Amino acid sequence: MNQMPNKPRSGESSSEPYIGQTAETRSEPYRVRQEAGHAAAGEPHVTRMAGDRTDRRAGMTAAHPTEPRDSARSAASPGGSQGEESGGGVGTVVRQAGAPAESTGASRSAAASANPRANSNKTNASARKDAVKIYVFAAMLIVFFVVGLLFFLRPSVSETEKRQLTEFPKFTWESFLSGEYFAQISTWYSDTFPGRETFISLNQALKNLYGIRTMQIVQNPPSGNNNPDDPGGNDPLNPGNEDDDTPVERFDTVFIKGDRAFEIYKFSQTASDRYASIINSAADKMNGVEVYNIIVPLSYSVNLTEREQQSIGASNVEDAISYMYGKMNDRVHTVEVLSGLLEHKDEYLYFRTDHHWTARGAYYAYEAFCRASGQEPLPLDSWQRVEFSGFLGTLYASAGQPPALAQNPDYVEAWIPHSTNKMITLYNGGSGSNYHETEQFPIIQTNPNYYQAAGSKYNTFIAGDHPLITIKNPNPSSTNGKSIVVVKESYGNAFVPFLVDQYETVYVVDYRYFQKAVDKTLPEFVSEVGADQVLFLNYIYSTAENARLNELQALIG
Amino acid sequence: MVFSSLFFVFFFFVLCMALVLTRKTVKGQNTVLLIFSLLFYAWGGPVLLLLLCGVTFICWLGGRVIGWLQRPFYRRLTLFMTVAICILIFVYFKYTNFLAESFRWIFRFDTVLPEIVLPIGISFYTFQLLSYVADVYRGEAEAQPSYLRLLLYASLFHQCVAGPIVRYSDVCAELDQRSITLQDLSSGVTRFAVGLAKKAVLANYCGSLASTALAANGLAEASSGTVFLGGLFYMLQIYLDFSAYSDMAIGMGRMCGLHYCENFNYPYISGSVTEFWRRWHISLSTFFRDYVYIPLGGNRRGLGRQILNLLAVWALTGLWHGASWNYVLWGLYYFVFLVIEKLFLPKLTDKTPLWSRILRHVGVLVIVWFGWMLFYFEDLSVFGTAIGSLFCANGNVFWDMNAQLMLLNNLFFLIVAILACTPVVPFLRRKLAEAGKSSPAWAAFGNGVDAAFPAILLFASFVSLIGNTYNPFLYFQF
Repeated sequence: MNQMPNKPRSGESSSEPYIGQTAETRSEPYRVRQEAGHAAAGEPHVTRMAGDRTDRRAGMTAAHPTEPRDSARSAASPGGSQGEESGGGVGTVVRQAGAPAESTGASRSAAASANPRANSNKTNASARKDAVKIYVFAAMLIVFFVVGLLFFLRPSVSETEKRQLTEFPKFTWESFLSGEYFAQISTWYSDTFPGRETFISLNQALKNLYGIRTMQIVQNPPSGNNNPDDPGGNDPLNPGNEDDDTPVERFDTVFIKGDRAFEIYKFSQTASDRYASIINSAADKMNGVEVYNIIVPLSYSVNLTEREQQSIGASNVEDAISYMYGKMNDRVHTVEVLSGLLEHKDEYLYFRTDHHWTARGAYYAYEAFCRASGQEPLPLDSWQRVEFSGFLGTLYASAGQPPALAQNPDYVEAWIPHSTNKMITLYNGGSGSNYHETEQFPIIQTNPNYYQAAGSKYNTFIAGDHPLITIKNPNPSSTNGKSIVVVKESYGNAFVPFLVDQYETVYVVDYRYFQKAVDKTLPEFVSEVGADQVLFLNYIYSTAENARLNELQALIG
Repeated sequence: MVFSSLFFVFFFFVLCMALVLTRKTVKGQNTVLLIFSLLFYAWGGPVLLLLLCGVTFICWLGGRVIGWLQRPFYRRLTLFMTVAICILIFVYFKYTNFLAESFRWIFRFDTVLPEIVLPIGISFYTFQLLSYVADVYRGEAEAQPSYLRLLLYASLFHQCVAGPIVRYSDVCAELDQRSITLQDLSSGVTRFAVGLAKKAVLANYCGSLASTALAANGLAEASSGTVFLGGLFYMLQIYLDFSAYSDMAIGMGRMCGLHYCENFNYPYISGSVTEFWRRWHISLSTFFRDYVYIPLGGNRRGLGRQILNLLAVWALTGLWHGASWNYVLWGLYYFVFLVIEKLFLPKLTDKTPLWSRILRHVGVLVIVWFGWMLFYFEDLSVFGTAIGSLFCANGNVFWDMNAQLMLLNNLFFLIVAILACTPVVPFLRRKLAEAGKSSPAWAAFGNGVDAAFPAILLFASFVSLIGNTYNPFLYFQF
């Protein structure tokens, strides 16, 4: 088979210490080495069997006894150098486990014949082992192959990740030519593989064995184009978030200690200055309206020691809040809530698996707000309490569903206002931009089956995030006679219900979505409804996020 | 398509192997392999397939003409023309942006840079085809009469996108005549499973740790420990990932009766930088040795010329890895150490004392670590920040909770990943085989482990791939 004049690869190289090879192995240094090294990883019996590979190679170069690799190889495998001539011309010999004795192929029998008796038993045993190995491997491949074809078993929604799984792509010439079509098929195939969620939790359980994980920092890799399977997309299980471009909440860094996860805030002077100046300009533009501002601390400032906070690189929340409050002018009434939370630090103020506070945490902020605005807070036990268990929130999802959190899920407690549980929601039905007013959502969802998914239970409060919610007290005489506009992100949701019994009207503006539905700035809206008070409520993480600051600034006009 | 995707392993590969193993003739197998290879390549964008076919056609034609011509001058001329066309195409697709950017920086002119998509695997298949033309010219291989056969060689999905760079003369005989033996299938299965697990279970996770630790925006405040660990995980990732592709290629080749050259031989256990490069990406360094270094004169024209030749080879090696200056610097960085070793470092002998051996191994690892950092950061100023943080020069701390937790959270994983870079598994299996010789119980145990090993690795890979969305393909640059 080697008809061609197969001269050594580089004739002049035989004295060539290229990168320092030794004389014997010079022209083919790697091949010889690997026989002992890499190849042995796959087959410990390689030397014993005088493997095919060795024989074949030796055979191919047999015409050139001068070539160094030849001598090295035939030394390693006695009888090997005659192997290939007989093995070559046969064509394909595919033999499987059925016939182990004959399956050795010509080259191996050449090796065996050199040493027939000693090798034959081992050859049999080894061939049997090889056959079993191949069958087991092939069986597993085929099982997964078949399962992969069972398209009716493929899930379409992931509950734990709170997203729609990738759909099978529609064919277009454009996506076909760019390769996008095929890439989508690959993504679809793995993203909707039957039993996906089970295998993911199995994977998480395995990862728990990677090291000592009583404390963890989970850092999500920066999503770039390196990520072919990155699905993105919207949030089907969260009826509150009806906008297609709703940012999926996913945190860069999550710190886990025991069964509690923390989001980490880093102070930024520029962002803090900007936040203060936005609130200042809002106060300037809304003359004659009382402007309040609450910055809510993160759970680590309540649940971790200062040392621990420092060691994970989290900024001191108290300092950051007083810095921002210090930058606000006299027209803004700042409300300090941290000390109230710290007084009750042993209570259930923050979720352990979600980045939000609980209604109980929000209640102590409500107390502080009442004091700052000269009102008497209603006692917590004056309201009817409801509770829902089995809540696994955003931090659980962002941290890659660690078992430590799953073993101890959160519960949601909520208190229903006396005067009404009805509100008017500006809602687009989950599609398009045709907003209309609806009374379909209550202030506190009392049906335990409504938010069944473990990740969606924070929507119990005012049905999640909507551009505008209006709550009119049916019993105005019992109130303070005032109306308030709460400008908030999702932290406001647990807070708002406490105001309902006290105010004649509560308007809830989610500054992230308001302007998509209502073509007005905040000052325009406030003067139109004739509100007496405006309360800005943000958790501290939002004050450092440029996206939030941009939205807030746009709303102020 | 990438090897480490569920679609490839459990659909494409299963179908391909089923069809190959049921063909009676080599010709039939080759047809199956060619069709699947073209499909595999087209998966990344069907248009680029035309380029692959075109370059192959040029080399096929060149090879035929060289084989047919007699006069040395014309043969040389044809070789020159063919190689020049291939290299021009290669340079156009891979380096236009880089060259334009560099010239623009030097001469300060403003032009709109063309948008050129880098065809996947172009560095691998171009080099394979160049080796074919050169081997035909040197008489080490006969010109391939069939275009489709040469196309099979160039496009074979086993090695087309991530190596090894298989020489034509190494596989030409097997392309025509081969047999699939039980032993080939068996060793191929093990090799493929080992590669898949290295990529899916170890390398991907190493990579996600490295990219969070070395994320550019937090680098200035990162502790020294974080930067060190990030670099370590990247060092593990790049070996485990790259060698995994070679393992899978070699394994799949064996299952089809094709024997490809080895590409890695535990580079991180090297005792010198020279040795490192004999163990790292072997098919590339031998390519440059045989087709650049030796034709330039190698070491036969004096030390000065030899160093110049080495300089050329290492600048090219760097540039091959990516069209950016950091890769060139990375190549030259190794050139410096290789020359220093060649000139000043005494050879390792049996008499070398233990402390000196240990020192050498540690020294190589340190050099390689810094090399990978240079390789990792395409932006040299970010590289500077990282090295600054490593030496606490950015006002950052030496060790913090982040580093502490990264280490503790992944301690056992790290140990396994490091062991996977050493020949410890082959060592254990050898020991087991030896024990099996004297005791039947050990033999049975050894056989059981050996038979179950690939299936276990396959299942572990499946579980890792389904849960991990982070699954990078590092060689788009190559």
